[in-house]
This record gives sequence, structure tokens and C-alpha cells, in this order.
Amino acid sequence: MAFGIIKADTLTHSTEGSVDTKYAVSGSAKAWTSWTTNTNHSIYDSLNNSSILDGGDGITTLSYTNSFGNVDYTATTGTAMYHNSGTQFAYETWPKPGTNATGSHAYTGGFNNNTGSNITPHDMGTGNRCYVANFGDLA
Amino acid sequence: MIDTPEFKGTHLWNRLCWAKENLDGVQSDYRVVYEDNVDECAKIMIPDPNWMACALQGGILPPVWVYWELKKDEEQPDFKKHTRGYLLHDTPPIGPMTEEQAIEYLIMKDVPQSVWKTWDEGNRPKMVICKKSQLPGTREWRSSWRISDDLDLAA
Repeated sequence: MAFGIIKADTLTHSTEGSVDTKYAVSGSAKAWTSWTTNTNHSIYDSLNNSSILDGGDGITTLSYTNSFGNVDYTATTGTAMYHNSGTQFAYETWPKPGTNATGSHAYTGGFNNNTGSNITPHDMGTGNRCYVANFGDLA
Repeated sequence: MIDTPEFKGTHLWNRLCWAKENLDGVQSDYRVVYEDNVDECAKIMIPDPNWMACALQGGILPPVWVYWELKKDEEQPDFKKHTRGYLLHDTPPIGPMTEEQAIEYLIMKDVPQSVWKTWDEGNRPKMVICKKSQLPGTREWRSSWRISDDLDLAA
């Protein structure tokens, strides 16, 4: 099977102008993962992820197959969950400070109780999901 | 089973994109449990299904020593960015692994070396490979859970 390669520095539309292909290369997510923290973690789908680490209640570390070039890459996070109880309004996932390495990054998840207090790391309920997409330069 | 293209000097990310498009994910039943901090509960590593598919397929992943080299670079105090990323892309990919070999590779890639190099030294093992069904079923127990004697090696 051939592995085709098209090399182009610019893409040009017939009427709408041109765009440098480096925007597409630099701006694409280099890693993404969809997983659950329901009691025992499991991965739904991913790209450029080798494993996840269940580090305790609401703590997950994602490891990359193709490491990032430096530790300054970014992450967008999201969650999909059902309302858990009368006092737990939303589940949030965020990068855990100080854990960004080129080959891995830890994330914390927890319920926002809408009380102004700090969010306590906590697992999600059954059937819910965490999402992370990473953008940056690869090694 | 589809044949892996002969990747020579192909960027690792492009190899992963090929695998994503052509291989079905493989959910492994194995879990790696380890302790690296006496003040924290045991940690559980879960293999990624798409990564496992690459490992079983062969011809995609670099040898594990490449990651050790990059890790050494990153541990230097003046580290800013990787300058030897070519090791990931230019080192010839390794052949197909069994699921058990893939787990061993993943341990050496994603578990701290301080754990897997001395996993059986001391009073009790600080790392075990087990099946998912052997893990605690509720988080209440899991958060204070430690490796116990009845958690036997499964591989």
C-alpha cells in the first residue's frame, strides 16, 4: 500500500483567497482523548495517547505516544455528564498545575457545587465522559 | 489483517494517523497497578486501545529506549524544548508485539523508572499486572486502596 504525500505551502480557493498550510499543520489538535473516570477509568477513543493513569478520585494523567516538543502546549477540556444530585451542578475537568511534561499531563475533574467554594476532585457518574484536546508543537 | 506500510523516516504522528484510520482499537483487559508515593493511593495504568492496536500491528511504534532518551533530555535543568525528536521519527519502528509484551513496553514507557526498575525490591511488590476484574469496584475503597497480597500477578 502506498503512503501518499502531497506537499503544498499554500491552499488557494477560486474566489475566497489563500491560506498558508502551516496554519492547518500548527493549528490541528496533536492529541485528544475521551475517557470516563467512573470508578475505574476507561478510554473511549483517542489519538496520540498511549495510556491513562487513574491517580485517585478525579485525577487522570494522559500519556502521549508522540511527545510534545516543549511543555508549553495547550489543552482544551470538556465533560459530558448527567446531573448527579441536588447539590452537584456541573462537572469540570482542568489541567492539573505543575504536571505538564512533554510526554504526559495530569487533569483533575470535580463537581462545581455553585457555592463559591473550591471544587473537590471527584469521579464522574456512570456513562459520563471527559474530553481533552491538546494543541502545540510535537517533538 | 491489513499490512503496515513500510514507514521509513515517516513522522511518528503520521504513522499514528495511519493507524487511526486503518486499525480497530483493542481494549486490553490488563491493568498495571503501582505505588510511587506512600502518602497516595495506588495508581492504575490503563492501556489506550488505539495504542494497543499499534503495538499488536507492528511497524508503527518506536523502540522504548527512544522515550528514555527524550526523558533524559527533559530532566536536564536547562531543558527548553526537545532537539532529538528525530529519534521518534527516524528510528526504525519495532515489529508486532503480543499483548503481554505490549504491556511490558508500556510499563517501561509510562510508569516511572523508579517503580518498574525496582518493583520487587522491599517488603512487598510496588507494582503488579492484573486484570480489570481484580480492581476494587467502588471508589470509596479505591481512594485508600493499596496493593495487597491477594492481588496476584496476572502476566
